[in-house]
Amino acid sequence: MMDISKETLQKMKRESISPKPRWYFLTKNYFFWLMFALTTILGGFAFGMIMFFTGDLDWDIYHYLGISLSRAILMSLPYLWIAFMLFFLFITYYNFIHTRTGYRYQFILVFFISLLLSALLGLGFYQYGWTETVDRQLRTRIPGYGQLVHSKEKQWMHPERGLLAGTIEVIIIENNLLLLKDTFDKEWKIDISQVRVKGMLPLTRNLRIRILGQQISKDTFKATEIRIPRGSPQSKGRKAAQP
Amino acid sequence: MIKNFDGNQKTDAQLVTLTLKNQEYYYYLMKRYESALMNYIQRLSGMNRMDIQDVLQEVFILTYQNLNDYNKNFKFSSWIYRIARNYTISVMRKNPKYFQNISWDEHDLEQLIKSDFNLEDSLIQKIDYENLLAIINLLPLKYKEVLLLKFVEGKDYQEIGDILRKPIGTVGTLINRARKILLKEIEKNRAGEKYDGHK
Repeated sequence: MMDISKETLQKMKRESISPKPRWYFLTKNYFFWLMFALTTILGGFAFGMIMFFTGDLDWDIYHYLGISLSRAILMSLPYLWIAFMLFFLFITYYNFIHTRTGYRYQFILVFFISLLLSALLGLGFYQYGWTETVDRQLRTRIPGYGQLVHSKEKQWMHPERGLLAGTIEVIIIENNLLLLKDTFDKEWKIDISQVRVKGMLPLTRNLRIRILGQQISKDTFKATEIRIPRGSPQSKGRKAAQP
Repeated sequence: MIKNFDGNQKTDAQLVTLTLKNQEYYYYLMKRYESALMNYIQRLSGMNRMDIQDVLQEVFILTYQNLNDYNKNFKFSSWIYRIARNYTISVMRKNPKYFQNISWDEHDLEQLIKSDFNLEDSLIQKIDYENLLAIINLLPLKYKEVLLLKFVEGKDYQEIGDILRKPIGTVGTLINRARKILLKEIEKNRAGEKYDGHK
């Protein structure tokens, strides 16, 4: 009977077969850990963006739009970033199970730990205002990005239903009037004679605000409530936010 | 062969360390697994003896080339079984007839049925092994291979997990499902119904 072990040894000698070096396997293993870390950070960013888009939405204004809260939630979810987050979670899982012992762990466990890590990182990114910076950069650099995400601007840009958002251009105190440039760069005259201001900052030029009230004419709006969003310029904590 | 060296006195991990210094020691490691892997490849694929020898030789070479990847915290047997399993399946994929051509002998089948199936002796007596083999042959590979590793090769859950690169929980689920399907088919077979593959 053929001695396979002997034959194999002879073949290995004949063909000068040698083991691959240890560094090759270490590099491969470290590569998957590196990718795991990288995709966890990217997943964290995606999570932070989800917080950014959902955190500052005003959930009490949907009755102005005549829709239910559940519909409002469905309309407001940042699907693009949710898709990115799920994608990164999947890649994180893929990288983890390809490390030397990663396969020993259940999918659900790896998934939730990755989700938790992403959530913690995302919270950090959101708190430091990095998500806003990313959002601003994406809006500037990627045409059409703004159309893909449901933002606070879109939520508040319904003047016919009493919702308006924009930046203060001029304040004319004696006439109880504000000149406002809305999110789509349209100029508005805002009557603030009977307004209630919610927010920590005084009304100043270049301040981004959201207004509840009534559209009087094509470019005139009577404000009943002005909201100064958390994170507007000069406010503490996060950096400047879009209204 | 190395003079005055008794490979039986060394553990797998020690032989791996020695092999990395001197290729000659690999002979003892191969010899230790030669027969077990040959049987495993045969049970997994149903290949003929010549093909099995070719596959086994390739498995040994692959193992040697990847020896620096062996983690001494794990069983060497699980690691070499994994390489054997992956390479055998890659060969089988090139020739799909192997997937329905396993050839466990009567002893393997008896071991499978008696091991953990809790069947009554009267039922065991009535099992037609040819039919049983036909049923096993039609099972999907994922069930067939866990049955083979657990009940014929006698591996524990952790070893099976390391061979298949799956968590222990998944291995348990696969074994339970495979066992249920097989028992159901044995019952059907007794009632005279023909198995036409698991949907």
